[in-house]
Amino acid sequence: MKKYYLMVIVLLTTGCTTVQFVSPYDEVIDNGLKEYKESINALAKNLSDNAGKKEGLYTENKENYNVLESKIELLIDRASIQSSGKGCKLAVDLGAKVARIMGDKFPINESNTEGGDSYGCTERLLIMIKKQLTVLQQIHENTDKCEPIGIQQDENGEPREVSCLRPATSGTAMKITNQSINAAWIVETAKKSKSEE
Amino acid sequence: MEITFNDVLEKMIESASDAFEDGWESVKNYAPAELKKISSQIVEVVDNVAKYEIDDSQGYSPETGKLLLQMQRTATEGVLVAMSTLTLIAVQNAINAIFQVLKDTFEGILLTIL
Repeated sequence: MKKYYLMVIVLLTTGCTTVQFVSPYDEVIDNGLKEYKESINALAKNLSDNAGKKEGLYTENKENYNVLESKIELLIDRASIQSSGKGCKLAVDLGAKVARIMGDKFPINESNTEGGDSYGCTERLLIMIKKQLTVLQQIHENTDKCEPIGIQQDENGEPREVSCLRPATSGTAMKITNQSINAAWIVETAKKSKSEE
Repeated sequence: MEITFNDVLEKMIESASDAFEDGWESVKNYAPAELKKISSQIVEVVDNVAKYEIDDSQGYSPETGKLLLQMQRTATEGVLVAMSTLTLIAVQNAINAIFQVLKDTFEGILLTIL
């Protein structure tokens, strides 16, 4: 019997020395998140400072959003290479529960499916960051309005309100956005800490 | 060198608890701080919508508030996924630490005697 236990241990130690439940650390994603965080925070600060001015209009900043979108899409592509392509299983139940509590409609068929696994979770975290960028754009383009400052009066008369990102909106939106970025970041950092040992 | 069942067990428990403790520390530090942020950010949205309704040059509109809450829902999901993933990493590290200790300590001896 003792010999049997010892054989099992040998098989375990020689045949299967490591397990991998999550995708491995990726320096590109780690650095990319840092860069994305700097860029989006700088943009939000500038938009807040220029609220009501021409420089703060949505149309003047569409390109900045496109740059940010490209950056995050690149990281999503990178993460999807490492995942099985089935999405993040963890996010399915958690997302549904959070959505129910917060009275939101849960997007059933996004990047996660019932057949997903934990390898897809980095990808899912990055997709959530992209989703927030889309909502921020929506706020800037449609719902936040400011009194115009120094914007030339056109032939129809000076616009009563212009698109902007209000300082209060910018502040709250960045706290929320940074929370999402940090969620992805802390996971990469935890993977990194172990891979460096 | 004599190997007993207790030797193996002790080494495994020791390595697993060390590895899991490191991983668990990160979850323990991360989770409460982020949960506090979620609460204060939801309150911040409600406060700013209330300010706007009193004076529309302050805070932000209910429409913006609704979209910010949508962002917060996504961020909350992100925090929960991160917490779960950190726990998985801790479990992964603990299991790998067990394998590593077993390998380092016993592999050579076991291969010789079997």
